[in-house]
Amino acid sequence: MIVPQTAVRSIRRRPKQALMMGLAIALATAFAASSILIAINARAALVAFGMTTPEATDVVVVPPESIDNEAVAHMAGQVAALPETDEVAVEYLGDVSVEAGGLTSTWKLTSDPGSGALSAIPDLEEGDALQAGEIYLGVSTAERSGVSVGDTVVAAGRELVVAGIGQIHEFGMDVGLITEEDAVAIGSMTPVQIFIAGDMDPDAVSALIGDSLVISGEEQRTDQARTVTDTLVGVFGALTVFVGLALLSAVVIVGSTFRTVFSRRATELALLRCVGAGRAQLRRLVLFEAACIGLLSGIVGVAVGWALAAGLVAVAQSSGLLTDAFNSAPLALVACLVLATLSTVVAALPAAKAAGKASPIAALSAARATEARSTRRAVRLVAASVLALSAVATGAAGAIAASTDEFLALGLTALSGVLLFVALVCIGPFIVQWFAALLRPLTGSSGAVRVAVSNARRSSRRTAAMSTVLMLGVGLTASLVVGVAGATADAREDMESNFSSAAIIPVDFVDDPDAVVDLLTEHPAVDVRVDGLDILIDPAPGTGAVELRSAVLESVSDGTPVFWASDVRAGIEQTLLIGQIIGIVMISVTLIVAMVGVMVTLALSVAERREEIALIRALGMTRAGARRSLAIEAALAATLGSITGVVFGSGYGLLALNALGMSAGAPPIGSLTAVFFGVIIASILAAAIPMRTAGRVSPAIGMAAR
Amino acid sequence: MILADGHSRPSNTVPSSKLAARTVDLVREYGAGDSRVRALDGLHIELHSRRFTAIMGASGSGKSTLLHCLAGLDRATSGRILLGETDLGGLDDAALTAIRRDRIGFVFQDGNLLPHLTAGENIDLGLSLAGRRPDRAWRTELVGRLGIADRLRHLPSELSGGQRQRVAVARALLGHPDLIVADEPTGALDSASGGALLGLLRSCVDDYGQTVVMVTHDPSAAAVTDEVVLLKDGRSAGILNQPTRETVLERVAAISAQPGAVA
Ligand SMILES: Nc1ncnc2c1ncn2[C@@H]1O[C@H](COP(=O)(O)OP(=O)(O)OP(=O)(O)O)[C@@H](O)[C@H]1O
Ligand SMILES: [Mg+2]
Repeated sequence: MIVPQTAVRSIRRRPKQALMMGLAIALATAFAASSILIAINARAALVAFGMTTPEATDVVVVPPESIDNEAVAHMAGQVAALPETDEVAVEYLGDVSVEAGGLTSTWKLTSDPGSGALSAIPDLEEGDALQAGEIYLGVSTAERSGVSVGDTVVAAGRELVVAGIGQIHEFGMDVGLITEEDAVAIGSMTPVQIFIAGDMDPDAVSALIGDSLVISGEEQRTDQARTVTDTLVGVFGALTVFVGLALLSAVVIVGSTFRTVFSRRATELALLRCVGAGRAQLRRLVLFEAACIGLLSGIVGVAVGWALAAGLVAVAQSSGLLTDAFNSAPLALVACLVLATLSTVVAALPAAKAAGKASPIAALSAARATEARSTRRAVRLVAASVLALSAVATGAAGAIAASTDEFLALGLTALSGVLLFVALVCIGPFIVQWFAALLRPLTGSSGAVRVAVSNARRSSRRTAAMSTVLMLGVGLTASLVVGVAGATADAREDMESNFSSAAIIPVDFVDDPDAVVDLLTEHPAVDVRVDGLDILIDPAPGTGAVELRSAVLESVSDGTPVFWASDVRAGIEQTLLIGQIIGIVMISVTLIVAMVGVMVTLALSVAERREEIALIRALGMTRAGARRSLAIEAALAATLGSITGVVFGSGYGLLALNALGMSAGAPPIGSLTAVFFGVIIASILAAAIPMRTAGRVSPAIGMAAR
Repeated sequence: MILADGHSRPSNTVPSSKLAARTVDLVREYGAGDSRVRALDGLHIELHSRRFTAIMGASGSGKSTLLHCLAGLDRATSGRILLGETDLGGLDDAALTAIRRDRIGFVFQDGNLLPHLTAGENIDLGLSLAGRRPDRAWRTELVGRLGIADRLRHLPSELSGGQRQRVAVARALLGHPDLIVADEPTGALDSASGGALLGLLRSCVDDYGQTVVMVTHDPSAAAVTDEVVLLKDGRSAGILNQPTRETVLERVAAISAQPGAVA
């Protein structure tokens, strides 16, 4: 009883300290909870996105690409004539320019039977089934274009009356459902597949229509479900990695925090030993306190994460990206709580071990126990060597696997990175000591610098904890920067080699390529040639991009697919940008955890060294000097973390590119330099609060008895 | 009182010897090689049951070290430490912990209470750690005698230094220990509070039949005790029975005048 009671009391008496100790865990938990909730809630959208085959579909016919609309209609007619057939629907798809409410934009139009088992339109409570000359709109599409039922929109010159507005999956785009008849009439829409409902035998259908791919609806749905599941597994896998990294940082930080806090409470622990607490009781005390702090931080984190996810989902709902109600996934949240608690307990294990070793005499003697105790050099060096060797081995295995399996290669490279990180965590204190020794000659006569360097050296484990989490954050960022730079260069190169012209019209996509070429040749602003399967279009000398575009559009008939190099390029850049943004968001959590680590660690460093700071102040160091020495300490840890992070991150970014079979391109020196200095400056800013506290320490307490 | 209340004491108490504790040829060395310090150098002392003993000597003479050894906080380099009939030298950490918990009471220089437990909880700490309930009547009498009955719900930070020391005395007495050790308990108190605390320790012996051993530098404090053990350089420098302030001052001066004394 006394153990939990003492632990709970100590948290209640020092809520601020408990908060500080758990801050990193709370952040990581918030990240975990929000990611899981967002992923779970996005799942429905992903499923809807992937599962496009209607439930009632018995057989799906996928016509060959070169086929024209009439042949497809003929095929559909043949199938419909079979006695087993209940219903047939041809799905036409296309990006069509639509004028609605005075605005013209590109909509995704899909053909739909309008009613029955193969229709995507939900059962109408009122109104009629979709008829020719009508369109059915998604809710957000209607909202965006300010159209309501009964209004008219113009799709590629055809007037369509809005027959209904309802819940259809929009994925944030403008979408409409029209009849097959209208789809054929619009012309530029492609027949993608034929859905057939009934008691069908795929083989019989195949025999009937020959050339097309025929699969059962069951099979297609299973395939689609697998694709969705694969995507989800990928998404969850990536999330798990990032959440894991954030938690790892948090554990490093919290572990260091616990060691510091409990070594400050050595007198208390020793007193407990004096009056008869056993070693196991003290260990339990520390672990129980850790569990409480972990649980509390977990609750805070889960609440924040929940709020964040709920907010984002609400935004997604209002923009039509998601349609289902918010799913709170209580089980997942409980799992996050358990994870937070367990991580904190694991982080507190070294502190608990140290507490078990507390000497009872320490309570009686004035000797202040500090964290500065010898680290077990040999054990750490051996562990680090083993880890580093395994890192090299997995890295090499990844490089070898690159030629056969990209994902295996990528996974091995990531594993190698994690192993190397843990190795660096092991020898962190020695690196810090060595780094501080290296800097000693440079300290010169500045008191603040000397104090900072000697502190970093003395509490090398604590400084190392700061540096290692910064290293993880910087390393991830650097590898992302290098990876994205390489991928961009690679994609651009690909583009240039595939897209030698300003625009391309694939020969397969037009009915009469020669006619198109003739028409284009007549235009003075256009240079045309045919290269194998593509009609290549370039501006004639003296023609600008805008003129070329209007010239091409004038010459070819409506609905002819023209692929513009600049559009494709913009598309690639946008994809890369989205990837980059997602990556940065994920990684910034690790970076923020690292910054919190810097803040908490320095705050504890100030609390632990109050007397010492007071003494130096009494002996003549200025208030600014006390503050400066802390800023320098932060900068030291940040420099070390940034250097190692940039070096290893860049290395692993290159390895990842190699694993994916991409060339590296020019190193993004500018971005890396920005990351390097950005992190150092951010660390100094994170030190602001502890600096204020250090500045406020009164020189008088240095003279007072403990 | 202690026998009358029927509290079951640990079985290995041997009243017949009348010795609560003794050391035989006790040596305690710190450090190794050139920096080796011999804090206790073949020390023989005997502490009688139900007596108040003071330990005096110059700074660095080994007083605290002796106290730590007697209380099972520190181990002998050689020689024997006996608490009653129990040889502390043969005990492992768990057994020593149990001895401290069940048979020793501590009063330190500055109370040394757990800062986030109330005075009452601090008093019960040793018994709580053992998973035992305090004897209610005994506890009530104790806090009444010590004048802290109305302070039990306060945190140590809300108590005066003297009150904190009284809480520590209550904690030491609650478990009926075989030996109460106190290292300069009056060191941080003004003379009035110090005097009151000494009176309390005195009555522990007189009224409750406890055995108390106290380290002090103060001759007036030593005068309250039954016997003064004098230490010099880790050895016994004589015993003074029924000390008074004057005799103590005299002996201390005599010892420091001898060659090799530490100022
Ligand atoms: N942990 C230790 N490590 C090394 N030497 C120690 C240790 N503890 C005590 N000593 C040494 O042992 C000797 C006796 O110390 P001790 O604390 O017992 O003295 P003391 O009589 O209590 O002195 P004071 O009156 O100043 O409290 C001293 O020389 C001291 O330096
Ligand atoms: Mg002493």
